[in-house]
Amino acid sequence: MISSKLLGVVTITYLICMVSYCTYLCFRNRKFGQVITGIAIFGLVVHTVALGMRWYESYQLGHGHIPLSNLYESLMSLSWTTVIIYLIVEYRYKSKALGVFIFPLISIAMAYASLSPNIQDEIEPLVPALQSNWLTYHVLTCFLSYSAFAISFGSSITYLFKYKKAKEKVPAGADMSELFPSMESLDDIIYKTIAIGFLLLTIGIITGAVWANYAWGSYWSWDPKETWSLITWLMYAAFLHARLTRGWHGRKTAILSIIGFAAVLFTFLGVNFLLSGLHSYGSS
Amino acid sequence: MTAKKQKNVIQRVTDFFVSIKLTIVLLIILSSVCVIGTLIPQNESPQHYLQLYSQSTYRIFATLGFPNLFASWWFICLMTLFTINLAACSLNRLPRVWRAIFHGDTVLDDKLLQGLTNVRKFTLKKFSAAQEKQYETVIAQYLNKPALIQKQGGWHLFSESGRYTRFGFYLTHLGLIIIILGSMSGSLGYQGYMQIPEGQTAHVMQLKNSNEIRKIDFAIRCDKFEVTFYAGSQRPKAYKSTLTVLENNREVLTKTIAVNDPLVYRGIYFYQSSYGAAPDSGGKIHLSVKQKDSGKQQDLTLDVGSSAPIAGTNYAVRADEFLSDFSMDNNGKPFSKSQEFNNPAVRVTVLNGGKEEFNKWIFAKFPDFHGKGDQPLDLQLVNFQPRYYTGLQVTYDPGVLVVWLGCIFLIGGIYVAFFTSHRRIWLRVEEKDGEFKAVLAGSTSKNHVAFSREFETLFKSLKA
Ligand code: HEM
Repeated sequence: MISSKLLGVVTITYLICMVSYCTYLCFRNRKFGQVITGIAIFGLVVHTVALGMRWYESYQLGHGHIPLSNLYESLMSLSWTTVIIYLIVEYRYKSKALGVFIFPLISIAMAYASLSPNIQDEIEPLVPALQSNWLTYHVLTCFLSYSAFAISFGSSITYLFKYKKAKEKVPAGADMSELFPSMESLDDIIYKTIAIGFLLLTIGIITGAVWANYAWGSYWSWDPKETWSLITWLMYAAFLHARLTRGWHGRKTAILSIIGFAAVLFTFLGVNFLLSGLHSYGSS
Repeated sequence: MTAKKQKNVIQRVTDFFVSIKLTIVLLIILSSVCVIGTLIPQNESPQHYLQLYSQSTYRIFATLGFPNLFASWWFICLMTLFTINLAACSLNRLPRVWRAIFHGDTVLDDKLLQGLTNVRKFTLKKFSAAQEKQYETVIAQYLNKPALIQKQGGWHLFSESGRYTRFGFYLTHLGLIIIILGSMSGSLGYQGYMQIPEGQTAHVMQLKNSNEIRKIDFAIRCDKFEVTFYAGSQRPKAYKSTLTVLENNREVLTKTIAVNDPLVYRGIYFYQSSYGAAPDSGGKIHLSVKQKDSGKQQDLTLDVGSSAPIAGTNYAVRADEFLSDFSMDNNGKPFSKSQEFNNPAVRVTVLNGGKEEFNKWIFAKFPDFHGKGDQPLDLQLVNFQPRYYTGLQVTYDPGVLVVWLGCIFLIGGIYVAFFTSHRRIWLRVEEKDGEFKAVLAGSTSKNHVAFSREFETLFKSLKA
C-alpha cells in the first residue's frame, strides 16, 4: 500500500524535525528555525495526503471507511491532529521550543505504529456497528482533544523545567531556558489548550454517546473506555475549577495537567491493552 | 464553639450541602469507584467471577454490589448527593452573580478603582464637547455604545459586553444536573432482547440482566433477514431485517433496520443487534446422493420439511429436521447443543414409492458415519443455509431526550464559560484646579492577558 510507505516517509520527516528542533535550541538561528518549521509543514502535508490515500484505498478495497478503525490508523491520525494543533500554537505564541517535546512524542507514536509486530497496518473491513458517520465525529473530536492535552502536557513539562531553573537562580544565558516561552505564556498555553481540549473532549464523549445510542441502544454502558474517558474529563474539570475558583496557577496547575495527560494516555492506550470492552479493537 | 452550637439543624444541613469540600470528597470517591468499575468486570455470571476470585472475595463483592457497580444503591446515593451538592453550590452563588450581572458598578469611584488592575490616568488641558464625542466613539468601537452618566461632579462613561456570559457556568452545571436526572429516569424504562426467526411474529422480550419476560402491547414480525459478508471472508459487512409492526393483527409500519439504524415505534427502539441460524425452524439443505447400485451421483436442494425425488428411481428424500450442533440428551433424544455450527446434522427420511423406507441422521462433519446397515442410497450433507433469526435489542428509555437536552446545555455552557468574557470599560473625567483629570479603567472576567493588550491599544487610540 502506498499510504503505508508514505506514512513511513512522514515518520522519518518527524524524526528529522525532532532532531532539528533540539539542534535549534542550541544554535538559535532564525533562518534555521524557519527551515525546520518548513520541514514540519512538509511532513504535515505528506501526512495529510497519506491519510487521504489510505481513505481512498479503503474504498478501493470495498470497505470505504475513514482511517480510524484500528490502532495503527488511530496512532497515525492522532499524530496528525497533534501536529496541526502544535503548529497553531507555535504560530500563535511565536515559539518553537515546545517542538522539542512534541515531536519526540509524535515520532515515537508513529514509529511504534509502523514497526511494532503487534500492530497490523492492513486496511481492515469495519464491523457493521462501526459503519457510521458518528465514528468520524466521535473519534476526530476525541483525538483533537487528546492532541490539545498533549500540547498542554509538553508546556507543563517545560514550565516545571523553567520553574526549577528559576528557583536555582541560574544566570540568564547560562542555559537554554530563555528560548522557551516565558513562564506566563506557558501558563497561558497550558490553560488555553486544556480549555479547548476540555470542550472537544466533552463533545467527543457526547458524540460517542449519541452514536452508542444509535448502534447499541444505550448511550452509556460504563464500559472501561467510557468510564476512563469520564475519569479524564473529571480530572480536567478539577484543573479548570482549581484555576477558576481557587486561583491556582503555575506549578500546581502544571502538575494537575501532567496527571490529566496520564489519564488521557491510559484512556487511549492502557484501556485497550489492559482492560477489555466494546472499544477494544486491538483484541479481535 | 458556642457560635457553632447555636446554629440550628437546618443551617447545618445547608452548610453541609453547599460545602465545596463535599464536592471534592465526592469527586474523589466517584473517580475511585469508576476505577474499581473498570478493574472488576461488570455484569458477568457468578461462574465467571468465581474463575477470577476466590469464593469469599466474590461473596464480599456481591454484597457490595460490585458486579453491577454502577446500578448499585450506594452508587445511586452518591450520584444523588453529588447532584444536590452541585445544585446547592450553584444556587448559593446565585445572589452574588446576579448582583454582578444586573447591578454592576457603572460609575467608577475610588473604591472600585482600587480593585482594578487595568488603569490609566492622564490629564487634559481642556475638555470640549467634541472631545466627549470622540471618547464615546472610540469606546463604542471597542465594546458597545457607552452610557453617559453625570454624577459626583464628574463625567462618566461606562461600556460593557458579554454580561450574560457570567451565567456560563450555570448553564454548564445545569446541563450536568439535567443529564444526571435524565439518566436516572432511564431506570423507569427497560432494556430487553428478542429473537424473531424470519417470517415469524413476536411480542415478548427477555429483559436484560434478569430472566424476566416482558410483553409489549403490539407485535413485531420479521419479514426478511439478510446478511452480506466481505468478499472472501466470514466477516459480516452488513445485516438488515425488514420488520413490520402489527397492532391487533393490523400492519401499521414496515421498516428495514440495520445496525446504526433502528426502528422506533411508540417511543420503543428496536435495534439490530445480532443474528443467527434459527436452530429448528428450517432452512435449505444441500445433499449429495449416490445410488449404490448404479453409482450415479446427484445433488439435491430441499427445504426442511419437504421432499425431492431422485431422478430415475422410485426413491424420494425428505429432510425432517436440522440441528446445528447435534447432541443427545440422557434419553437418547437428539437436540441442538448450541446455535453454532459445531456439528450440523440433518434427519432424512427415504421414501420408496411414497412409502417411508427408513430414516437416519447424517452429519456434515462425519460423512462416513452410516448408522444402520445396507441402504440403497448414500447420502451426504454438503451444505446448509439456515433460516436466520434476527436479534433485536429493545429499549425504552424515557430519559434519553432529557439527557440530550442536558448535553446541549453542557456544551453551550462550557463554550460560554471558557471562550467568552464579560468586559467592562470605565472612563471618568473630573475637573480639579483648572485641569481635567481623566481615568480609564477596564476589567474582564477571563483572558486577562489578551484584555490587557486590548486595553493598552484602547488607551492609545483615546489619547490620539
Ligand atoms: C464535574 C462536575 C462539576 C462539579 C462538581 C462542579 C462544581 C462546582 C462548584 C461546587 C463550584 C462553586 C465553587 C465555589 O463556590 O467556589 C463551581 C464553580 C464553577 N464551575 Fe463547576 N462543576 C462541575 C463542572 C463544571 C464544568 C464542566 C464547568 C465548565 C465550564 C464548570 C464551570 C465552573 C465555573 C466557571 C465555576 C466558577 C464560578 C465562579 O467562580 O464564579 N463546572 N463548580
